[in-house]
Amino acid sequence: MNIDKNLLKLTSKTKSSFVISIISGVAASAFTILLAYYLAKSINQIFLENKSLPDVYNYLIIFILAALLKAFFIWYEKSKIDIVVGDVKKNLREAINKKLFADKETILLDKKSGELSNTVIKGVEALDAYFSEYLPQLFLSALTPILILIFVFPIDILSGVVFVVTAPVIPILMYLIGSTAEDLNRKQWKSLNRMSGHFLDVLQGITTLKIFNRAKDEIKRIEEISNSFKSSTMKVLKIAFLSALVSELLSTISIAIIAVEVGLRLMYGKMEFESALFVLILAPEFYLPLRQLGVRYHAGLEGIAAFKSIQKLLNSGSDNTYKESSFSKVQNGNIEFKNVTFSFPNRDNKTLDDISFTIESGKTTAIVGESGSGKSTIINLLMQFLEPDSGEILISKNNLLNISEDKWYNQVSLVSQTPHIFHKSIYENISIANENATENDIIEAAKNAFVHDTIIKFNDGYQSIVGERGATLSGGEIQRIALARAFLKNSPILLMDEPTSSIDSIYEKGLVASIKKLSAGKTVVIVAHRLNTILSADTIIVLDKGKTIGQGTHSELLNSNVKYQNLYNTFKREM
Amino acid sequence: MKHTLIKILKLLSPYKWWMLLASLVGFLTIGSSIGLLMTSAYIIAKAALHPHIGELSVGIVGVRFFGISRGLLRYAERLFSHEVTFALLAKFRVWFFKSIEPLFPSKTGRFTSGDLLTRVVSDVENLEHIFIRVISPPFIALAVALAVSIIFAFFNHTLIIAFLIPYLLAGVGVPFLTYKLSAKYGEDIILLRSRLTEISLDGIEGKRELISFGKVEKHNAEFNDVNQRIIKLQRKMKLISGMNESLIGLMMNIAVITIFVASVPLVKSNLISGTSLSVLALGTMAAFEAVLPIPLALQYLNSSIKAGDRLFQITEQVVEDKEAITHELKGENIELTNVNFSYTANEEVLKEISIKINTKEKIAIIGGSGAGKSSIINLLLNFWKINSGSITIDNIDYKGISEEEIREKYSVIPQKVFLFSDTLKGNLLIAKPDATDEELWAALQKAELKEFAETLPNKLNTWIGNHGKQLSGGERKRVAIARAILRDAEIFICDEITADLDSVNEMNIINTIHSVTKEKSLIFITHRLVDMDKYNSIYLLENGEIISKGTHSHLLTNSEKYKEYIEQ
Repeated sequence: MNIDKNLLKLTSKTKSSFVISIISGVAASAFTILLAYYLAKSINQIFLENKSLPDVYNYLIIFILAALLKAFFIWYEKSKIDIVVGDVKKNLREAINKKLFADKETILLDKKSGELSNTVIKGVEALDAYFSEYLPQLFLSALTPILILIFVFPIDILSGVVFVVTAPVIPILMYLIGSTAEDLNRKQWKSLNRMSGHFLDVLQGITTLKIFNRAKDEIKRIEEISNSFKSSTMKVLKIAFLSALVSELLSTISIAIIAVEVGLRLMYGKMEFESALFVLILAPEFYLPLRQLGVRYHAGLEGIAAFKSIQKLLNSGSDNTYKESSFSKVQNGNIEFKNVTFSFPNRDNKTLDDISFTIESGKTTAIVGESGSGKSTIINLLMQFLEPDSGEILISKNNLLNISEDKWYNQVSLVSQTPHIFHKSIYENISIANENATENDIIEAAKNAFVHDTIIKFNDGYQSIVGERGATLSGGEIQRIALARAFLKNSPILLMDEPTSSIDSIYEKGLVASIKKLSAGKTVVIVAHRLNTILSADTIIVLDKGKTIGQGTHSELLNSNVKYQNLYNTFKREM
Repeated sequence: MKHTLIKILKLLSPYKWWMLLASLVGFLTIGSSIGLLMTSAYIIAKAALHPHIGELSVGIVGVRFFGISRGLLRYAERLFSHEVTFALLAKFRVWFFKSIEPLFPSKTGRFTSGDLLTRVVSDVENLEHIFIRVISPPFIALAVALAVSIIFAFFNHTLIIAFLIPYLLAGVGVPFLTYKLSAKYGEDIILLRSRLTEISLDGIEGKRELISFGKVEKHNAEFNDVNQRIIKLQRKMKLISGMNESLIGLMMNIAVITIFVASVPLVKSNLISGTSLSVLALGTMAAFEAVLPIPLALQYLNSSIKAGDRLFQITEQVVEDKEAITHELKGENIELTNVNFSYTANEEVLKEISIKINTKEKIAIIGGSGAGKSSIINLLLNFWKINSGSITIDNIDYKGISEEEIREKYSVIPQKVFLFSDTLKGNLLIAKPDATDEELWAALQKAELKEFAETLPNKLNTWIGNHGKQLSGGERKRVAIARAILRDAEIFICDEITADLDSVNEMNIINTIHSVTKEKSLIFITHRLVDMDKYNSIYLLENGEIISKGTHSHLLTNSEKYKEYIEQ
């Protein structure tokens, strides 16, 4: 039952709310004691002092007031702790979100977007229980029993001793049994998650199963897996639940001991009834916070686990600090790669190995090579998504690394292989490229990219929200939306990672002409996957295993470069 | 809404005895602590009158009994209720799978996409916990109310009212009050949270776009805004739900007062003894443990019913059964004659399609996306029914053959290969459950995946798919080819299998397919025209119609459209 210091640090800004919450919790306990005191007193008056109901009215009024105040403080405790929780959640989410953009490398390395967004939304939510349930309980399970002891000791030392002796045994025993049982328990919940994963998996694969006529057999398997999980889990749970058994047993047996011990002394006249009843009423309250701690321990564990993955995310990668803009103009000059080497972390081979070439301004350069030859990395370096390990990339003789991102991104358009379409209207998806564009500009861009006809077929036309009913886009259409963005942005440099084949053949002809129009007068770099593109390029760079093995026009390369001849033959066979 | 609850309860009915047992033990657990506190109070009240020690012995035995039984019963309750939950877990999964299996893929509507399917699974999981969360707490609370009323009736029946009014306020009034107050917020939070997930996914997946269009700050502002709105709403929600524990506690203390005020006159008129005062007060306190989980149960009830609603909507679609007559199909020739087909009532996807495939013939169906190529496969595999025309295999109409028997004749290599979270072996055995390891290796060799499989750390037993080794596009395709080879059906169907491969990979895969299907019929669907001269006939599809057909050389001379395709 440890406190994670890093987690506690998150509350530093809302420390006062946290402290007030704990104080409210303690105040609620104080009123519990007051309630016990006046209840015992009232009962004693009637039972032994032979008083009548009106004689105890004063006590009853105090009792009701105390009950109201206790109710208030319990509510106030939660209300205050929620300020802490809200602040922690807000800050963590903002920090993670910011981190995702600060660390540009994860754009390329991390493909599991679902998992990441899960950490942002659900992971942070899991901390709620840690801060609102576990952490305050940790303090209260120490403070409340102490407070009760302070009142019990002066009244009855012997009962106080019973409390003091039994109380620490509960957390200690729970810890001893708990640490092994909880471990088993956690493993079991993990395998429960895995089983849920299997279920989802099978549902996703039903069509595949049906193709092989195997769906009916799978029903049996689901049943088998569930049942075997059940029997193995129940075995573990029998041990895991022992901690609950022990804490329950200890507290109830302690209450029983106190009842008997107090009762016997009462009988021999060594104690007053009022004190005895007071102690008895408080006995369950004494053990309650300790037992609750056991229950909330789970919530705490989940929070700690979630926090670990959040921390991992926050501490991963490097923060690319935004550069000061040192060059005011990016002149429309040549792009030069000078001895550029790049390798991905955790990979042995170099993705780009000491490559040098020049991309001429105003011309179209195609990059060809087998998959894995480093073509896309060149684009990513040009986009500043990656930085070279050594060597430099020069833009009009200026080192790309010294050009501020804002300035550079104003000059370049990127049409990537897998463009992203946002959960927004199609209009907004195109206008992202130029916020000042008029509606006419946007329609013009869509027409140029041959996607206008598709868009107006949707019920809400340009205002259709992508992903919702009716406005689902095919791979080819997504590509063309990305092209429309490039048309709208109309920047002097155009980088294209050509899709392998998702553009539908039927549009190809018009689209090729359109792209040509877009490319006119621009510096264009295309990672090429089709013959047409290669043939219409001014220069071709041939890459093989991270090295440039040729540069020139199509006919030059065809005569001199064996690797290029092979590539060309493969492309040609498609005809 | 009530209807859904009844339907859910019907699904639970096989476990009613287990549920009854678990609830009963849960009731006895709380009963034990009521007993413990009442007998404890009895001991000290009695002792205050300085009786003979013998008169205390019953009480002492009582506290000892209840002190131990409470712990043991609690243990038993947890075991029983988990037993029920795990039984329900298996039950609901099998039920759901059985109900939706016949719906795939023609009647599943939109829920097959990853996100929605995930939600369906969490709906199923929600129902699995329905016993512990929803059913058992009110049952136990009711049983406690009854038991306490009966015990108090032994003292005096007026006490029942003094107890029940605050108890009902705590167990019914408070939960309904907080539920009503927070219902709106709860729904808003769910909506906003899915919006936040959307924004966050957009940010992660669209990072390049946001960075290169300089829109990161705008995106972050939107994210922070929605996040803050959620947190504000959650706070309002917490302020209300925080009232539950506080008000139930207040009701408990009020009950102590009402019981006390009601019993004092009874003591004074000697209807009950003075010892009863403390016994009744402590008994009342202990009883309220039973109502603490009710507010949460009410919330879960709502979400369970909503989950149930969504699931029943999916599972209650009508599926027509075909009469099953076995035909001993050979799979020699297939013929589509004037087939018309549409997915929805509005738009015809296929118009007057006629295609014929004879034994060991190879045909190609080509066309752009949306031409209707994949629909033809859906029809061949009998996943969907045609509107008019006929499909026959071995000259027998599909209408008279069971789906299973039809699919038995096809080996399909789909565009998107689905890999189960399983070992390579497990993924292959789907095609032939009784295949030996030798057969698997032979299939891998033919699919040209043997070398790759040999480099895997655990060979055939290497975990692939989700949570396992990620396979490249080409490797996935080859797993599908290996499956098709193992299946060894008479007719091979390839659906756009080279769509997301680069040219080099594409060539290799196509070569493999042609060598594997030498002795088979082949239906090859594509929009990339590669090695077209290898097919006996080529069907050119556009907007759901066959606009030309013939051999490669025939089409080159006779079809302008085909020439256009080739020249691109």
